[in-house]
Amino acid sequence: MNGWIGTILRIDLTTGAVKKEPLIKNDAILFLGARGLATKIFTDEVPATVDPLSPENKLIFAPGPFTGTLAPSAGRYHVVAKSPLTNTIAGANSGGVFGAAVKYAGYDAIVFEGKAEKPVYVWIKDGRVEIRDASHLWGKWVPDTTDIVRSETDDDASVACIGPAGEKLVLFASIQNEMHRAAGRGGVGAVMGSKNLKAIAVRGTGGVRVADVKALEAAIWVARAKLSAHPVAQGLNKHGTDILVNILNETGCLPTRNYNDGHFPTADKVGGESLTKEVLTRRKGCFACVISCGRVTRVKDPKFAGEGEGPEYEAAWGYGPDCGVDNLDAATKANHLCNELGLDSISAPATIACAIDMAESGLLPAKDFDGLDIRWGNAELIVELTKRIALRQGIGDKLALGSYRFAEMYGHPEYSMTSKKQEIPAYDARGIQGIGLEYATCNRGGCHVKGYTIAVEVLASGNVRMDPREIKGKPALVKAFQDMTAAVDASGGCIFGTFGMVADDYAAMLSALTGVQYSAADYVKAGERIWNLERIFNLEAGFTAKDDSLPERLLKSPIKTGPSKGLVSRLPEMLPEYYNVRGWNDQGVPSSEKLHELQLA
Amino acid sequence: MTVKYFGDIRPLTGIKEERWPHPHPDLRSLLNVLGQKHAALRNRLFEGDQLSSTTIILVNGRSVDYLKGIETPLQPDDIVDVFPVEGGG
Repeated sequence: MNGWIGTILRIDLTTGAVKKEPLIKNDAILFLGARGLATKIFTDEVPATVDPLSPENKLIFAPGPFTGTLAPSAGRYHVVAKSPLTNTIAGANSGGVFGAAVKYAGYDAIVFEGKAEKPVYVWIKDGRVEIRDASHLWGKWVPDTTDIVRSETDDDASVACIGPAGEKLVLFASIQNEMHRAAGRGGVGAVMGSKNLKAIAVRGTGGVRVADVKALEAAIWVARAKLSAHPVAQGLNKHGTDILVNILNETGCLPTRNYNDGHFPTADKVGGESLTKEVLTRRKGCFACVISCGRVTRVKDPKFAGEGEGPEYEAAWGYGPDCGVDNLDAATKANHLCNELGLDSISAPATIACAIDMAESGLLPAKDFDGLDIRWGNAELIVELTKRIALRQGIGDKLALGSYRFAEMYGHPEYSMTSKKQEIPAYDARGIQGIGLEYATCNRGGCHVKGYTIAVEVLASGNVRMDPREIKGKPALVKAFQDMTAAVDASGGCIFGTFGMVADDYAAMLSALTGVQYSAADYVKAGERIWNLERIFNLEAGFTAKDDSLPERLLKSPIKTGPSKGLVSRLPEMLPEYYNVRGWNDQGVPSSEKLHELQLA
Repeated sequence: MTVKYFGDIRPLTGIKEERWPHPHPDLRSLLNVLGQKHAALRNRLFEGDQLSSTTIILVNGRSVDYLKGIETPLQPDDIVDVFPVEGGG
């Protein structure tokens, strides 16, 4: 095959059986790869009612057709399982080089089934697959695990692994590849831990066949020129994603102290401009990326000293304004710990913010403080709690369940800023209406990247601009972003590519690569197909329209200070129209006509 | 009036923000003077006589796209933010 390798690797951890199966070409054409193909395989094979931490859940790693090629900023892979945090389908996306290594080793997807009796790691060198004992790695942090696995396999192996958080089933544990890149959201690291799978090391020496080399080169150069010349791509290179702190704060939509407010007066101290000046040591890109938004950072303050990568905007916000902290060194250190221990760097700080909020409100009894000074603005606290969560020590054992279950334990789930029990990120939906609809309807729970309307509502990164405070046209906007992003994810792309490239660019590259002709409309339709397939899984898992919701605080408590003072989310006004533009009934169920149109029925 | 600079605009002025004591009736008038004061800034503010497409201007937290663009009227206590177009996630 061209673009696709044509092989699925299936590893049964219970029996140790390893199988190589042919990729079903029609599935590849309809669902592309990565998020799409993995979701197709997963939903075909796993009942939606499966217990996420049981051996019956499966864990699928899949690169996309672009992964491993020179398609710009498109070298990513996706991890699909049922999420233990949300009980929805989980789809966590990561960059680095792991996805390309899987492709070069000869696979479009790796499906893990069952549960190993003892801790294991899997070593894949092209066609050779070994399941090896990992008892000596259990308990080790991500950097040590990665180094040891490389030393036992191949210095050039790409390693994806879990840290202590995944082993201990923290419900928002991540999977880390090349130490610092994370398949972060939804607790896929806990699923990996539940299978006693500590790491996957991959070394591939093959390549990707191309249907029309000249046409692909031409399409890549057009796309690459557009992306690399785009001011947003250049800005991301310069200051990283953390550049967003100031614009969201100045707009009055920087969630502050667990969404008690939308404005944080000293936000600039944790923004990208400060990061560049104070902790950045170099910029780093993922496979075939023309942007290089990754930040390699070093903190010198002895209290928080260390080296690593990040923070991204979300983590700088989470460990910063959301916890009432304006200490960049502490936020950077906490982010390094998330990578080293294997934690989602959005859910971890947002869960800490919830605990601080409850403590400050008198809802968390002092006897449960675990000897800590739990209050807004405590820089040492955010670092210490991150460790305790990952190691499930003291109060960290309860926080490891995420903010919803933690707040519910104390009788106040309304203090959890989540949708479908996943922590919502760093854009206040009271002042930016479209992103609130995305949070509420995202198939993996509270999430911004699967429908990043911020590009149109706040950042003016393209030609289309829409007033963030208005709701008119937002349901169609959210649908358009969700469908396009699903297609980009499924083909192996990074969503930052869409700051400079449009569906025509992706379709031209995909057609030349695979030899299957995709129009821009076909490409986006694949995304819509994937979105609906994820939705069907969630409905079968028991979710209903009632779950397409936001925390009461966003719907009823206006932002208190700053430029967006007085605003609330108008989600209930947008949701019916969203269902309508999706071709779903008023309960959010796809119509049979829609399913036929998408070839899902 | 307070004018704040962000991202790669900030090095063009060498400052994070400045108080602007002179009243200006509208954004165009203010930006013209700022462009004269900070020579490196001028090309980032204007494309011809229109606002540059590579810059985002907020007045009191609202993009001027949703106010009156370059003709947005200004009051003495206004906060004017000058950002490059940016992205992230």
